[in-house]
Amino acid sequence: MEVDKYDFKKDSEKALNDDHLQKALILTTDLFRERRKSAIENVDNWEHLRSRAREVKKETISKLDGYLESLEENVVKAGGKVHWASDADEAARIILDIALKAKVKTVVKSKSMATEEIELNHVLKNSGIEAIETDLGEYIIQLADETPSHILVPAIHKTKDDISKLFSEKLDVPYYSQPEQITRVAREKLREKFLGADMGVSGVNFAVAETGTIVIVENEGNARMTTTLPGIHVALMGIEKVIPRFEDLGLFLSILARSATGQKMSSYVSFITGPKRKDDKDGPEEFHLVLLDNGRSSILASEETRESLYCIRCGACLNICPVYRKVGGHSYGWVYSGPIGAIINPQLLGIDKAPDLPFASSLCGACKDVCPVKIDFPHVLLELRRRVVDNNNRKKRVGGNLIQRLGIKFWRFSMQSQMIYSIMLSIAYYAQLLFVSGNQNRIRFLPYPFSLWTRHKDFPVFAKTPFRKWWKHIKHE
Amino acid sequence: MLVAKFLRECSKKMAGNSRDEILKRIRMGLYGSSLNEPGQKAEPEVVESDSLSSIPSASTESLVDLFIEELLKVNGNAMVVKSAGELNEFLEKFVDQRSLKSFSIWESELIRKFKIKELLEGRGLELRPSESKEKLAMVDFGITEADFAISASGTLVLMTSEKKPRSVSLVPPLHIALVGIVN
Repeated sequence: MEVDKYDFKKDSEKALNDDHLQKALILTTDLFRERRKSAIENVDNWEHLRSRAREVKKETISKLDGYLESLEENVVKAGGKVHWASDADEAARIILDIALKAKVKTVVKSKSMATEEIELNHVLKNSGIEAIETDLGEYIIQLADETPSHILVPAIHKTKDDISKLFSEKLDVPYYSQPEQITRVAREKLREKFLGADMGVSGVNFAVAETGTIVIVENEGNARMTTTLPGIHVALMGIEKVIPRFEDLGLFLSILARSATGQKMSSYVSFITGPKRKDDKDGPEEFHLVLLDNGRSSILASEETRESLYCIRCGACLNICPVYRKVGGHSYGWVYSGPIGAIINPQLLGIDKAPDLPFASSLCGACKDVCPVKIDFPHVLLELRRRVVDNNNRKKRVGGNLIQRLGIKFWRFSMQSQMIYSIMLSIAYYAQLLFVSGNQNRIRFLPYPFSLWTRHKDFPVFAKTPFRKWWKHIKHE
Repeated sequence: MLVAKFLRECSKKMAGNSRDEILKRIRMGLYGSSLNEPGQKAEPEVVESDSLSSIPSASTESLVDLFIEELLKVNGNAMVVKSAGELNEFLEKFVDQRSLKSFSIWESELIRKFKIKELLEGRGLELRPSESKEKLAMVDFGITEADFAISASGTLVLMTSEKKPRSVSLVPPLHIALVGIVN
């Protein structure tokens, strides 16, 4: 899949000027933060659970080859088929081939970020196969022909009014203003699709190596429908989703639901081991598990950033992130958003495709504090920043770099003597007056080369009285 | 025909290749060599079992109360019945009040023991088989057992098998589950 370079700066500017989005982001992320907080308050060994979850993930990833082989073995033993996909195109082709071979006309899909990664709906549509998203949020954005803007709440950017209008336009129903009415319409439409579909495509939250069981966590029952009613079930998972033991699920299900939605347990947790058995009365005849690499094995190769693969996609880091809460999901340009998007998009796509993302963070570390598997986001972000800089240096992009280097040389020179430093500060104070109006304590615009800074950030105003003088004065008092 | 066969062979080969390629890349990334420990089976170490320490160690009665409390929180309903008579009474009332006409059911132990299928059929309700999803989609309610009930979250655990189809609790708009309280 060819992607152009993503422009975080342009996209985030658009988001910042969207008043509705600004309100929706704060409202929703606040709600999820509160729910998460009250859900973990009553768990007195929460920190222990986080540490254990991290240990299990670490152990799994450190022997990933072995766990994937035993997962494959046990899925096959249970009657399923396992497919390996090196990249997005291959995964999409595998799923398309399964569909074409079985002459599938309609596919129902439950929520899966991995299928977004491989642009499955697009691929199926091009071959004349209808693919319907069945998670309500995903259904809404599919109707609107948009992409998800939050891992858990894909339609976070849409208002009730947007959705009412959308439904009446696309589904030939009256303008319903009540959420219950909208939900009922969706339920009726989707019910038809579930019953008529020949194939169901789902994601995977956890895949248990020792039993070949895949586990899907959801709240609407649509994933269970997707994996039970159609004759073929295809599950797509990133290779990092494997966990060693069935027993580990107690731990991971506890931390996932609480971190994601603040629930003690998600409404539906489905355990699927292979297809329908001989005497079973329902369930799919065929079960296919597609293992997707798509850049993950290269993440694993770096010890500095390997822990990016520990993520269980709970979305807690999005809700806590001061940057996500302002710029929203679409600014991150690709499938994953928030702090987790900032660390995995550049690694999965290639650092030159998303060079802004490692910088789209204040490094405040709130994401690390809420992460149920304790991913050290600031550490990974800094490593990725280093790679971006290296990459730029290799490309000998002077411009910004040269100015930066000169600036730092100049700074070093001025710092070497107190006198020079004081003089420079005075000069700076008077020079800035050209750009400061009234009582402003921020400068919004400076001429080149300082515009390199002020294009994206305000510059603080130099104080009239330098700190050193002010301090002496305070001390005397 | 030959071309098609050739293409099939190619795609088979490619699929095999991706498997080996991915495993090779993982081994290179982890061990610095693709030959290092190839095919080594990951045997999970035995670990202490992890659970939430806040699970109450309480009597069965208080666990049942807690289960009902949690189930109500997630918009479920529950009631305790102490005898076959009470169970029948509950089911009859449930069916009459909602004018239910058809049902689908598990053939499991408790359901057989209390002759629930016979009871409902005796009241003129139609039993719909779960083989046909179209028919099941029109059924008024499904009735199953639950293998476990988790007090802490109000969750039912249902283990499906040939006599316990998954659709019965999934497709109909109403679901009744029987949970045995064992002391």
